[in-house]
Amino acid sequence: MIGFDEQEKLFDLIGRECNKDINALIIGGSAMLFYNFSKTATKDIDIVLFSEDDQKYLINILKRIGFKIKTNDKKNKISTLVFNDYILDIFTKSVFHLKISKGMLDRIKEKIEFGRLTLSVISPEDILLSKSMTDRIGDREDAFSIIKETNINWDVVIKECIWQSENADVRFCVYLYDFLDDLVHDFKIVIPKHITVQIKKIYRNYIDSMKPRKGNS
Amino acid sequence: MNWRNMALKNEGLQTVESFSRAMNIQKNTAIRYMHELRIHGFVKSQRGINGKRLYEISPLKLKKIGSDGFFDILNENSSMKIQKPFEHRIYGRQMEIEEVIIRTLKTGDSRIILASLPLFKKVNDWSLLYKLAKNGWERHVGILYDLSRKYFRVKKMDGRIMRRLKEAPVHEKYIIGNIRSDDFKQLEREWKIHVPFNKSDIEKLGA
Repeated sequence: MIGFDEQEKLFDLIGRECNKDINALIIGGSAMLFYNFSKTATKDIDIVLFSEDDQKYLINILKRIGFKIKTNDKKNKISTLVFNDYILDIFTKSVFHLKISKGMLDRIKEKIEFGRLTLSVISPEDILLSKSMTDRIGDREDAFSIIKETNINWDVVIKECIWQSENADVRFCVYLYDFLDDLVHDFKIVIPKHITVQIKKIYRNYIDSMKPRKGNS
Repeated sequence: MNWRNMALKNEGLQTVESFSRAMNIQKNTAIRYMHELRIHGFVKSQRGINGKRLYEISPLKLKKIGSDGFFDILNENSSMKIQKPFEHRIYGRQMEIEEVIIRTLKTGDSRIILASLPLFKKVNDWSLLYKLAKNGWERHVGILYDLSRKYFRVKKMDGRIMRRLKEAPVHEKYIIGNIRSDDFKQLEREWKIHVPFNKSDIEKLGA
């Protein structure tokens, strides 16, 4: 597990090695460490870059430091690099079905400059959305603690869900609906009624659009 | 006492009175709770109208690493305060005033650029300012410096730096969009750059 201090030292090291400006987003568990959530360590550090060139450049720096490429998933644009206990997941422009939107960039809570590496910490709402893209139980536990420990702006979640469904993946509302449904059943979280109704409506609209139209064989 | 829960339930702007009403406690207890919340990092206070103290309660606490960033330095040195869109931090070094001036220009935001005028009072390293202004910002820096000298007690710029700023080619005639000044025509002609401010704007800085 990687704690906040170790993560900070790693970013500092990468920043000192950077000879060109690199902007990246910190997401998932590593972003949670920047807040005062009860989570104090993460299994892997997740960062999102904005171009393939930056991804290649960063991977070269990490290799120079001593990291080794574990996997390179070109379909999902993820590279996983490993060095001792450190596991680094590098995404480009999107996190599985979640595309980096203008809204997400506007909601950034903190920007830290480590030399020429600028890292932006996404908002709790966006961490929650990024967590909804996976099936891991750990991500559901993290989502539960985010909802429990802060006042989530559910309107932002809905707005982003609509944007993602229209611009990234039409099934986004399905993933989010299932994810929140799991949280309600497994962790007994309370989501405001009007929000549940809205997500259900978006979900139903998507399901209805999948049905074959009359006259089509 | 679970201070995080208390912050969760009372998130937002509060006065001691509104907080004591929301919690159904006496004013003295409210002050004590507010003090505890501040110790735990859930409260930031500010002065409202008539000097009334406003408390901003939030259960969310960001870890501040490194040193003060762009907005902190700008707000510390300018009479015009800018609402921070996000927390900005610099790790492993201190951000210089000269760097802040150049960054304000790059934002292209008139309020932020206006707020940067008093920062020229704090510039010590003119050659650093010139170095950072290279690649198209030289004349913009020059005209803002001359403008700030009209209204504030700004140290005289090194003559060689001033000459270099004036000799720099004009990359972009406007600082912001197509906005030009009604009051500083003489300066605009001298620098071949349009300033997006009038006298009344600069008066807002308390000059």
